Amino acid sequence: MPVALISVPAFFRQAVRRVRSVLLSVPLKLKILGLALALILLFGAVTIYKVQAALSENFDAFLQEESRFVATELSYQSHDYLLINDMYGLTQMLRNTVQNRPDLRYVFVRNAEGQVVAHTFEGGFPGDLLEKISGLSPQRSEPRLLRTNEGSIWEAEAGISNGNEGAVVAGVKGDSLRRQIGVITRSLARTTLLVAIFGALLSLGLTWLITRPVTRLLEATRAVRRGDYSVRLDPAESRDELGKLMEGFNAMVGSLVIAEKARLGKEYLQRDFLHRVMAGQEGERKRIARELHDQTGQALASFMVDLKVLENAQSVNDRGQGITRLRKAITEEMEAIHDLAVALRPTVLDDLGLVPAVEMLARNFEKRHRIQVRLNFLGFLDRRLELCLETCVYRIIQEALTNIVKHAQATEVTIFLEGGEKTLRGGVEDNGRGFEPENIDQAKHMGIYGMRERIQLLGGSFHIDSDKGIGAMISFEIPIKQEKCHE
Amino acid sequence: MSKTRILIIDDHQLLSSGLAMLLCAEKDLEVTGQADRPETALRLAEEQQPDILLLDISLPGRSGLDLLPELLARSPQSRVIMMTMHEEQQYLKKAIEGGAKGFVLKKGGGTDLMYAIRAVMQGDTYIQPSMLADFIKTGEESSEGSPENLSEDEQRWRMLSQREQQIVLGVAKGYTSREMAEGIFLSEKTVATYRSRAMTKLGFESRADLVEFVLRLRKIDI
Repeated sequence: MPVALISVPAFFRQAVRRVRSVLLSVPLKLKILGLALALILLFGAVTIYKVQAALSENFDAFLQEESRFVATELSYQSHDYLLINDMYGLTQMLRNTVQNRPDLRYVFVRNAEGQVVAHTFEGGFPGDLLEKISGLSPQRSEPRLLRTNEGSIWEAEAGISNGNEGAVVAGVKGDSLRRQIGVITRSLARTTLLVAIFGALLSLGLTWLITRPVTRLLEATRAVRRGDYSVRLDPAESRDELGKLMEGFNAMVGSLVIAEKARLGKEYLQRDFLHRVMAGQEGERKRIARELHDQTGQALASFMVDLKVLENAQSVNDRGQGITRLRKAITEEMEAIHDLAVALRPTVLDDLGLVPAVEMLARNFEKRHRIQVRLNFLGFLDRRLELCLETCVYRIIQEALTNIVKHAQATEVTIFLEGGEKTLRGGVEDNGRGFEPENIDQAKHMGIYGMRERIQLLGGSFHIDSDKGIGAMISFEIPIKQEKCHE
Repeated sequence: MSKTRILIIDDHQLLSSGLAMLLCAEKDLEVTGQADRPETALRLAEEQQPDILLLDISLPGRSGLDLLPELLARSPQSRVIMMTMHEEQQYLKKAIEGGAKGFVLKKGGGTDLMYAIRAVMQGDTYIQPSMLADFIKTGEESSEGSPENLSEDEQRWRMLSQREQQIVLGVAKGYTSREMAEGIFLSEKTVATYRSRAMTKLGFESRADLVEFVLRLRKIDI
């Protein structure tokens, strides 16, 4: 039993689910059409049923009344014919009546003895009806229902002169009434059908109206997916929710276009940056190669010559002078190589860390360019950070100083670095002529773009704060903890 | 008189053996060992307890500066002379802080090294003459504005330029940018720029932080 209790709702649920899935899978057009047709047909069927029910209810009562009325009416008229025994006239009269009244199937008259003296049957009085004839009743009896091969017939009997001289029996079949009901029903059905066709057309039109914008939207979406951002929909076509959707779609495509443009711009910058970085790298290599070859190589060659000269030197004095000269030359060469190495990569950064490296950078900068550098370090002491972070910050400060020399015409520079728990903050400020950050063409000033790129790679943020006349300040904040450090 | 015993720690074999030859030529010097790796250096220093450790900064895997305190721990009697290609003041500072008694540049050849060894053995400190001037200057600078002696807030305050300090005080006192601009004959925008720069330098986000900071410094009275 519990199984049955559970399985019945389960069955219903399943059925509901199936119907739902079918309804959901049918196209919108069919849904609306189906809804309209179902409503119209349901309405028509209910109307027809109601009309039929109402008519049928009164139908039998009417037929009884009719049979009684006809019998009574004819009983008065038949009286005279019976008196003068004019059976022909009586029959004629009865036939006329039957012809005039479409519902009347038959009439016959019995005399006082109960014999049928006149009737309206064409082919003789039907035998089985004769059997059913009851005895004469003095009073008017209630109509009775006869089941015949032609269908149900209400039969009423009315006595002539209170039944003393015979009786008139009238059978009412109600054919014409039934026909009329049929006519009404058919007409109702026809109307329903017409309305259904009209409704179907209407709903098709409506669905067209509804689905056309949807189809447009669908096509537009596909176009956008293909990368065609030129599509725009006309929201004036439908001013309803779909119109709003179209407006929304247009706005979306609009921002997609902007985003795409920005992406392309960024991509261009990135590619350009990469090119420049690569070109820069190649240029640097060229410079080093030339330096090694032209400078170091030549110097070593000259040492060889000097050594040869020393070997051949005759006097102690000559030898002493040669050695002094050679030592000086070697010292100079060592300095040149050292400078080259530091320019490539300051070992201080690796050996001692960011703060000493920046100190060194600043001191060298001061010496070379006669620009005073103020240094502010907070929260470092001997703290070392991830090498990639230190390199990044070092290179940014280096780049900033290069920019200051190139553009700023400054007399004083402030560098500040603060190592916090979670982030490294810092910046480079100058008192030069400044610039308007908005007017910086990124493509031309790869320095700033490069700084930003470097910092973004480490998940940090970068700002330029500058104004004409009061110098510029670049500042940055980078998370101390780096997940990936490629160094 | 016993000879001064020297351990050379340098990964360049050629230089190392050249130096050994040079040193051995002196009557009062003796090279007891040459180490080309930090591990060897530590072991030999402990075994030999030399008088002088000649220590290069660039060693494979580990910087000589890193190694310095450990070497001194293993051989406390030794005097360390740093011997390097690096002319940067930062190395010198760090070496002296780490307990080195001498700092000699390799490019000087052997001459400076000899002076250094003699000076150090007499209990003096020897610094490459070409680096001495800058070293003294940095020493003066750091004693003058020694960051260690100042509170963190003071250090932050010193980060600001004079203009910025002026504007920060103004902000803390409750002046608007416009009022300050009128007072010091700058444009309002310029004042705003100085203000935002000062905030960036100090790492503050709100005026409240700024006011609290200035109050802590007692630059203004409540």
